Amino acid sequence: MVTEIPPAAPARHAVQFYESDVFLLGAIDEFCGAALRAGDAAIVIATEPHRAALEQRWGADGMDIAALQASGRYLALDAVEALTGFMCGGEPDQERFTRLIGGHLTALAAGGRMVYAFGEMVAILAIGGQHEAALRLEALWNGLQQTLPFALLCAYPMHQLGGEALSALIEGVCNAHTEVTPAESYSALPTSDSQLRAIAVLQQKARSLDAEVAERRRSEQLLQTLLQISQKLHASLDLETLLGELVKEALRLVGATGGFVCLHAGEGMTTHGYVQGETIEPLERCWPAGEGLPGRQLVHPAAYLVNAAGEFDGIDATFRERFGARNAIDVPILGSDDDILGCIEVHGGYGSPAFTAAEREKLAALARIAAIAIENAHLYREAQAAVRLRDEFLAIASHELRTPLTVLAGQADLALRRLRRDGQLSQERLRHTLDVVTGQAARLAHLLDQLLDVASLRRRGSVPNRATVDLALLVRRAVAAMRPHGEALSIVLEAPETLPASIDAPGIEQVVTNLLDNAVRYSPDGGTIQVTLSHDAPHGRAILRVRDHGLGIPLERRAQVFERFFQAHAEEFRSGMGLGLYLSRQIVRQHGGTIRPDFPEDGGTCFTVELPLEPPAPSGADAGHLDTVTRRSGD
Amino acid sequence: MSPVRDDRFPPPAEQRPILIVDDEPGIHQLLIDALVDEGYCTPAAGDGREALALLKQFTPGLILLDLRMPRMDGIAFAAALRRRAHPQPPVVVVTAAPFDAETLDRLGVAEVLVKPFVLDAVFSHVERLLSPAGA
Repeated sequence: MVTEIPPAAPARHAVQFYESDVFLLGAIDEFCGAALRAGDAAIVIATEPHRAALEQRWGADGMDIAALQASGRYLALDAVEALTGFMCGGEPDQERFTRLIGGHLTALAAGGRMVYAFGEMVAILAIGGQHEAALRLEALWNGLQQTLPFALLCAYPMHQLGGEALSALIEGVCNAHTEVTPAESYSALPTSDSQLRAIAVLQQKARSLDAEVAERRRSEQLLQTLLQISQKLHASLDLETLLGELVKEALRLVGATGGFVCLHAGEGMTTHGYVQGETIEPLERCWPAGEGLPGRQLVHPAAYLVNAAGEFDGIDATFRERFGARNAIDVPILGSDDDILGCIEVHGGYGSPAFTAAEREKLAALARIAAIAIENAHLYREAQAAVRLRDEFLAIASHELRTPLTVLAGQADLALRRLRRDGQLSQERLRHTLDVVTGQAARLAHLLDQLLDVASLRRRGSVPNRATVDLALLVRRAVAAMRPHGEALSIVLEAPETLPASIDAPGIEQVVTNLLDNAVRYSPDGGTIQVTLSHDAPHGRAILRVRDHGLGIPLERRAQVFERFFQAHAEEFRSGMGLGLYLSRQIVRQHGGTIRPDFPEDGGTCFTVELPLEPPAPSGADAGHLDTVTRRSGD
Repeated sequence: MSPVRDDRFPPPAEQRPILIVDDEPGIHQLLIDALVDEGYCTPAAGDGREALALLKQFTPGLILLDLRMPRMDGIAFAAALRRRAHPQPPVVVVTAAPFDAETLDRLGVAEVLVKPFVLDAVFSHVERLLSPAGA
């Protein structure tokens, strides 16, 4: 609020803006110094350093300051002290000001002298942020000039009056004075032409500063908005919710009428809904690489802007026809590895103004925030899945370990009871008990090994410890070890005499044993298990087949055969945690081989393992492409 | 009071046979060993189907029933049992799997033993629940 200034009296009230103290001193000298030299009076109300510099200059010029003071022609006051003399509650008090300053002026004007006054008090108030008070003081000076004859010069340091807040002050100050002299960068210019150039330059500078300030404001605003959106998005770890919110924010951010978000899944960019305002309409679309704007992101990710789109500009026909999309911005959402997570596309319809480059940048900024939120949501899902798996794991492990434990503990307990009851234990009974105890303990140990295997499989390197062994001998031994298990079964083996291979022998033995074990378990009614080992020389690999004629695997379960904890006849079937096949597949894969199940017409199951006899060449990565299970990598 | 053991098959009701239904050979053997020691008669079946077949031939005084078995699990067996005409011998479920108490209740299961069980618990339940001879 600018104080109203009473119009300046015909008396002189000049304001000098200055940039350097030297210039200021020059101005005061011209004003007060000249007066003193001409025999008039002068009062200088200034800061201590300014007073000191001034009096030094005058002294050097030959003026006798002391004499002037003694004769009452010159008075110097400290500006700050003088202020305290009439400031009252942050406001200059008129009565006190008139009494104090007016008093001094009257004294100086004795004998009809003309008084030339220089005051810095207004400047001090202005610099201190007391703009109202400064203008009020200017008004008081003007008021005083109506009753007392004196000329007044005020000065303001330009470099301390920067900033928009003071422009109102400056205007007020200028209005309060009869003369305004700009600072030396103008005033000290020699010709009026150079002064005009200076003005033109200043005008341009002012405009460009205005524009810059406006731009800064817009950036700040955008930052604020993005911050709020960011907080909103990060509040949700649920991917579906997140994506919905994301599109709604995108629409709001750039004033679009409709839009959608895609996630990069498999071969293309997929969306499940189109957002308009607050409503989401279900819409399933998938763009393969290169097709449409989303597909273009997969080939060349960039922020795309299309206005007045034609048929081939990348906006899908569905959007153009059904939602009237005419303009579009499509920005990629890039993950922390610069991988494409998806994209956001917004549309403007007929009648909407074209999208601007600034809006495209805004959307790109939003996409960067979205990337983090989406990655978080993915991580959360993975974490949840991992927790679920762990819980499943623990439940199954807990169940499977109980049985051997029960038998072991029970038999030992039984033996103790008999001992207590009979005072002795027959040799036969003792042997039987210890047999069971050791057998069950071994089983527990085996189960534990499997559990630990699964846990450590992730940490273990993917390169097996290879040694050259006779694969045929390994298989023969494994089959021989199986024989006692299934008396009603016969295991028929067909294998070459020898088959050298560079493999991880314990690992492959585990695989063979696992396949034989499964074959036995899934043949509760007996039958024949056929095991064949052959050498596929042209491909440098061994082929192992284990075929049983047992229960087989129900159709609906076949796809999950290699999953952890898979049990073909889950709820009914007994023992084993379903880890065997999972581990087997891991081991075979690590060797660069493949394993797959087949289900022959006449029943039962046949597992086929293709095992390279030598480690694969370094260029090859994980094999296992023939596996029937498709899961995300890193399972 | 434990009856004198008799190895006839099918066992007569006075023998108060205890039918063991469990597919795990280890558990099977343990229960048989333990109960035979105490003088009980213990015919056994490897799954629900086998058990139902045996029930056609004699009536047990008590059934020790596992839940997880191939071909016909414990729940299916208990349900089938309930559908039969009398007599309905008491059923004690012996299991390591998590179970739904409500379901077992509904099926009239008298008691649940969780593996690993303590033999004393087995004996105590058997003694308490075994139907009196001839019932």
